[in-house]
Amino acid sequence: MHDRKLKKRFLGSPTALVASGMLMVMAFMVMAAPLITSYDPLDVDLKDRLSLPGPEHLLGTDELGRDLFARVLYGGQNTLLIALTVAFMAFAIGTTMGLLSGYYGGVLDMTLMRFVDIMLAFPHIILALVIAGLMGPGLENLILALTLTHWPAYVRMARSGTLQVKEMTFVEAARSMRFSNLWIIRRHVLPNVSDSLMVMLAMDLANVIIIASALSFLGLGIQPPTPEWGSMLRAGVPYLTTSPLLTFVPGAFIFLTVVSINLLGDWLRDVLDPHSHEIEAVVA
Amino acid sequence: MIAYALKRLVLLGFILFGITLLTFGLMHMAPGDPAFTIAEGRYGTDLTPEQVEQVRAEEGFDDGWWVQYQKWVSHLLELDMGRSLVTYKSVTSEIAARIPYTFVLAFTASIITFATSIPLGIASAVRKGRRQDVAVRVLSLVAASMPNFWLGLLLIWVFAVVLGVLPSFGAGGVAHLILPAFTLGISMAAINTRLVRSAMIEVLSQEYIATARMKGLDDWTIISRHGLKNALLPVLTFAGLQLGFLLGGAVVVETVFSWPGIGKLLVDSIMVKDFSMIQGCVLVIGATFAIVNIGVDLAYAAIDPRIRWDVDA
Repeated sequence: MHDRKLKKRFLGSPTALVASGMLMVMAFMVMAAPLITSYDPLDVDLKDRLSLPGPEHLLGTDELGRDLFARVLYGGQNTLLIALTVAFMAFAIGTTMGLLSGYYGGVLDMTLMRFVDIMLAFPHIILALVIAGLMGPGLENLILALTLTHWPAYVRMARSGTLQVKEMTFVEAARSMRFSNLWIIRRHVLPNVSDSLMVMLAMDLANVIIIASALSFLGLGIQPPTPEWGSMLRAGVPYLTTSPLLTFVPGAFIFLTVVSINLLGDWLRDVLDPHSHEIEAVVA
Repeated sequence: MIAYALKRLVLLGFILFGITLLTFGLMHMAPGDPAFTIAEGRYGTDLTPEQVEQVRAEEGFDDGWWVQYQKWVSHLLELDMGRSLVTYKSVTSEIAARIPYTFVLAFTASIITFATSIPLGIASAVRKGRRQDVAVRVLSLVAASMPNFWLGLLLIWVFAVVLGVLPSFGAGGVAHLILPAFTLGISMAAINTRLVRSAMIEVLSQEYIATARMKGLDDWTIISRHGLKNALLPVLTFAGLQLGFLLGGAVVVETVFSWPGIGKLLVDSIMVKDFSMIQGCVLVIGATFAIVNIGVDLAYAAIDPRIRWDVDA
């Protein structure tokens, strides 16, 4: 879709404006954490454990007396870093392979698609869980495990789009004019499949945030004391009865981020890809 | 139909083969020497190199991977998935003991899902664009955006901590099932409501609905007799994906509520690096998922002949 038209639709949609506003506020708070809070998220103060929200600590302190507000802001840096890295890597790898595989076809395509079938034969989170578990905890391993399990969905999407575009007359024409295959893929195929892939990327971003924090929540992602939304939730569970804020706050940050992304993704789908089926976006 | 069914079954066979290869491969890509890990479980931490070598010879780790794989698969065909590296219990019987729990949880969650999402989805579609529709859409988006571990903890806080009316963990009577089943059911219902809604909107725009209206049928008959049947068909195709969602969700929800299903077994085994147990869980979950998906494809093709022609199987 034309950029200017897209912009107009964007400015005319209250949902899109509110959602992107929420996302921007969230992203700003997370990125500008050192400007917003003067507390160090790793600063332990055992004399001031599990304190209630007050003028000194905006959201109170955790089980080691660390400032909860500072931790949730810095924690967001890790969560968002993971989600963005994973979604874009999976998107780039999957799209490239899907385009090439769909365009050239042949044995390579068959092999790749069967591999994708097998990868997608497991519920996403389970494969990611096992790979992360085998590689051991840590930021890099978490990113690797999630990327490994996320790219196949993009391959399938990019490939099926490519198969359709490939048959169109303008591709035939370009081919008969002896344009190189890679040129055709870049100039003709990619622009025609990119809309639905963008929608998928937006929806997937929300999904990756949930899965990444779920893995950390299960103890397989980022390890304490490093703050991260999922692992903060995990640490808060034993204090659910006495200090429920420790679980409410990081969860609420995940939730608000995911809601805004989903709202934006919904809007993007309605605009870019109106004929797509609801489920593709939801389950992607 | 037969040709289509055969194609699907060949694909199923292939996927099952792939799942065994992947599961087998994963365990062998794991860092560390498996012989050492097993010996450690068997003899404790002060090991002699001889003990490790003995385990290596017994387990056949010196053979090529293809020989090992064949041996592993032939045991598998006799439903023997080896023994836990930690508890020494048979993996097969441990998994068999856990499956009923996961089944009950998933089944209850599915009932909750359908009981809420079908009426809500229909109501939303029929009143498209009006207040009820907006409310349902907002609600489903909110519920779909809640991480299920957080939702579970919130429910625990409300019903177990504040109100004190429901148990928060473990398995027992029906009371133990309520919170985990709702946690799993609510997030699935959110997705399902949106599906039912869009399928219903699609169906309501068809000409046969207009015809039914012209015949003077009342709204209820149109929706239940003509609308729902046609709208549920596309919803059912996603039963396979729903199952994936259930199984994936079960891993998290079972852990939150200490519900002794296969998902919790998997997470616990990963924590203690019980490789043979992990292998067994992944295999069972993957195989169930694959078989159900192909089963859904076949059932759908049997109901709707159009599908047999345009699938690149």
